[in-house]
Amino acid sequence: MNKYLLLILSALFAVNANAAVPQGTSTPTGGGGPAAGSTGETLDDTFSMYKGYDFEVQFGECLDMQIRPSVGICPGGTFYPPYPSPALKYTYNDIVAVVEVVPDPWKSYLYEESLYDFSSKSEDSFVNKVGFTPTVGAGYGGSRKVDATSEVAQFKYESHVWAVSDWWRFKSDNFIEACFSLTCQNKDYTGCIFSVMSAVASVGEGMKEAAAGINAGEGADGKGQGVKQGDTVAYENGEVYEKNPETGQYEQVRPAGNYGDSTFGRAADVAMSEDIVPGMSNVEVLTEGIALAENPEGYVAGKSLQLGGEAIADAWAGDGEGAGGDDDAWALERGLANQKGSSTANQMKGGSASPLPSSTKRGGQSKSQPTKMDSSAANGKNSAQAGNAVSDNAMGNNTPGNNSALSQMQNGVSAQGLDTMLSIIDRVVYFSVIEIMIQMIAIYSPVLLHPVFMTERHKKASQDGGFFWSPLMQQFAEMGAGLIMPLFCMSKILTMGVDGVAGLLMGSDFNILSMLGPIGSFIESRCVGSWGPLEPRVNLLGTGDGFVAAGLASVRGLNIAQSVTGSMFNKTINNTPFYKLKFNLDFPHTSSCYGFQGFSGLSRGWTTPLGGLLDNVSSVVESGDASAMGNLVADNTIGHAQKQGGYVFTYWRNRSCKFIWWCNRWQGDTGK
Amino acid sequence: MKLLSIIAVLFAFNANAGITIYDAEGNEKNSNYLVKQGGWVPEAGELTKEDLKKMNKADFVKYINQIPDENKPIEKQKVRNLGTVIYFVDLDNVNRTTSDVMNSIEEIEGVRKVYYLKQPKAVSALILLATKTDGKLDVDLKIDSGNKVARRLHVDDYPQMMYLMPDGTKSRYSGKKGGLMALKLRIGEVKALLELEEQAKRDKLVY
Repeated sequence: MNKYLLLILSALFAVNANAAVPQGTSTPTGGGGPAAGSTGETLDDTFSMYKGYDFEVQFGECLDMQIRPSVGICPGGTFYPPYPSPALKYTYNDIVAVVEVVPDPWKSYLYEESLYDFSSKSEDSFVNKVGFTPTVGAGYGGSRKVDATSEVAQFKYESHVWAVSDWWRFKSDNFIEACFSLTCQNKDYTGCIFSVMSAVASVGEGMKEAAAGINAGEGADGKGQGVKQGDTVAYENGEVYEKNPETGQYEQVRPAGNYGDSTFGRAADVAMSEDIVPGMSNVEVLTEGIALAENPEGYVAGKSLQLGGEAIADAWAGDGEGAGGDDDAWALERGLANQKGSSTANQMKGGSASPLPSSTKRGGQSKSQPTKMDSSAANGKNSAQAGNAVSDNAMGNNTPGNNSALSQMQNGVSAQGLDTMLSIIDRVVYFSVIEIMIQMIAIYSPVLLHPVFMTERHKKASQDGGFFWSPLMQQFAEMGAGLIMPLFCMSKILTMGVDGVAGLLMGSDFNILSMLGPIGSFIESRCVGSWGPLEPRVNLLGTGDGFVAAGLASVRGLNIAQSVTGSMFNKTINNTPFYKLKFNLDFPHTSSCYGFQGFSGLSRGWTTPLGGLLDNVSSVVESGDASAMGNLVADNTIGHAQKQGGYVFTYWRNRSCKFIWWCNRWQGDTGK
Repeated sequence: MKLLSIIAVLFAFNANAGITIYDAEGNEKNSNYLVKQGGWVPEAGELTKEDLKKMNKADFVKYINQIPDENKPIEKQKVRNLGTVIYFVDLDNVNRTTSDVMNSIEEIEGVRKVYYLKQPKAVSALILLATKTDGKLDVDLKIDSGNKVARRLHVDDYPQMMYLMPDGTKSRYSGKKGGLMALKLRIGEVKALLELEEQAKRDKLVY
């Protein structure tokens, strides 16, 4: 199994200049910053809310199972014709991801359920929260006193997008529904056998080493965090080293750098043109290997992944001593008992990280402009830690290569290209080798859930929200994207069921789509119900209360995760547009199931405090001065700051499936 | 600049005079303009043009922040037309007979129908649906998660029907053929009553 993992890693990094350089971590770990004890009990009190969170999947809210008996046709064989069979058609909502939004960087309600524990980073971050620049979280970027008692809120949330395993579903008091939710994707009418088999898989030492390396957070100055697995060392700035078996020395097999070179531009052209590969969306093509059209090794990644998957499946089948026949119940019981105690997560945590070879640490490019947090927390302290060691090569919008690629992307932009382009931009800006490694390891491990995207890792990328980066969008940026977009999104409130039509803000002879062309339809697809826009990914004005800000931050994080996961890992996250998803709130309380369009909630303005906004809009109309709107809208539309706690959302997508009994065939949305 | 003109097409809300609507040129429009633009969907919020004319800002904000009907328990959702029929069935009594009853209910016009299947004890048991109904059941069964709906409505005997009438009252019937007959009679009575009321309204307008 280990060799397959290495193969995948190699293939990933072997896309040469087309491969992405990840976003660096800029939060110091261990030793560098002030100790938690310096803030004493206050810190303990603040963080205590993250402990003891007993999560349960709320199937009763969103699962919405509907079933209908049917008749299916089984295929014929050599000696008999096709024949009818009893069948079941059913639909339900399946879990896409769990997204937590927290005001405390690197804190999480869900660490204990995963094999990765980043919580050691949080204490330093907490101490340095003052001046902490917002990442993907929503909020208004300027705290100030409105009057003696009121303070304009500054919502600075961190979003953690967690992919869930089959086992995650069993964190529910309703096993029947948990099993049911697995039937379609596992093509198993019991719903549970596949999961039981995966539970008895053992975790390889190589995986443990990699997982421990990720948790250890060791890095090199100017290179970001590094992870050693076997004889391969990968850094966040994109550098990869391999040990030469003959000399015993580590040799660089991939230089630092990201997508931002001229070849990326050509790859982007490929991604945005039509019918590149029949049967694959262009985004899928992109994620199968950004250089699919240019570099055959891009294909190797996909192929090797497939091989790896088959190998793992074989391993499970061979090791599935409890699977099948009368042993199913026993295996299920044993598996559930194990999983309740997160034993697999602990098993993975049991590995020890190998130190990074010193020869690979040399030559990193130091950052030229340390951020507030970096400078206050880690200057001169333990420079080998990942937090202050991110290279300028590793992300951001300021590389000549990225600008070059961008100009090429604009040449071919079309209506469908806008969404694709944003997805590409996300992949460029928010790509993280650490997160890719986490996904790669977790997808072959029996863990409950694993982080796909964490905003703390992408502070540099978030400085401009991943939106203003594109000159194509500058026309909005100049007007204040945070101004324009909420107004368009406000039409979602009023049009209710008429999603896709921004007519309310238009005159009858005034067709926004024809006027704005592709940008018009693009805007429509970027509204998160009535909460606000996806872009920019930071600094939204006037969300009105913490819940709305957190909800918007969660969707922004999820949307980025959709872009960066592609079809290689966690495909289920990526294959449904966010506005077609449903969600329920799990923390601090459970909620009913809502959506982003139609009659299911958000489009009606649910939870959106429009009072102040409407007043201000009114004022603009009366004064006829729309240019001053930015300031007006910001006033009185923001609630009090949310300083503690956070929110946990579960996102769901619809699946429809058909099971034809006598020939055990499955049709419909069975793919992950 | 075009974008600037777009955002000038906005609403002005006046607490005393109701909602005023402007177009891109700043001309005042009436509520028909909203309907024409697809701004109001009667089904979405039961908001009439008359309601809109009378509504002030506070009412409007309250209106758009209300919890959507479909997120409320079924018995608390708005009852429309002739009412709502809720059918509860258990896997044990799903058969050709109950399938015929459900199919008959489905054919009744003017009534909303929802069919709840008691949550089975094993997922694999659901496969029995395919054979026990001879493939004749022609409705979607919603699986009652944790039998919460049944418990809330005090249903402990399957099959059973509940009829939520337009005035909010409930009546219960057996989920078998006898109950179906009784249900149809009751729906007929309700329909007749509604028609009489409608007739009375028209008569009152004439005189």
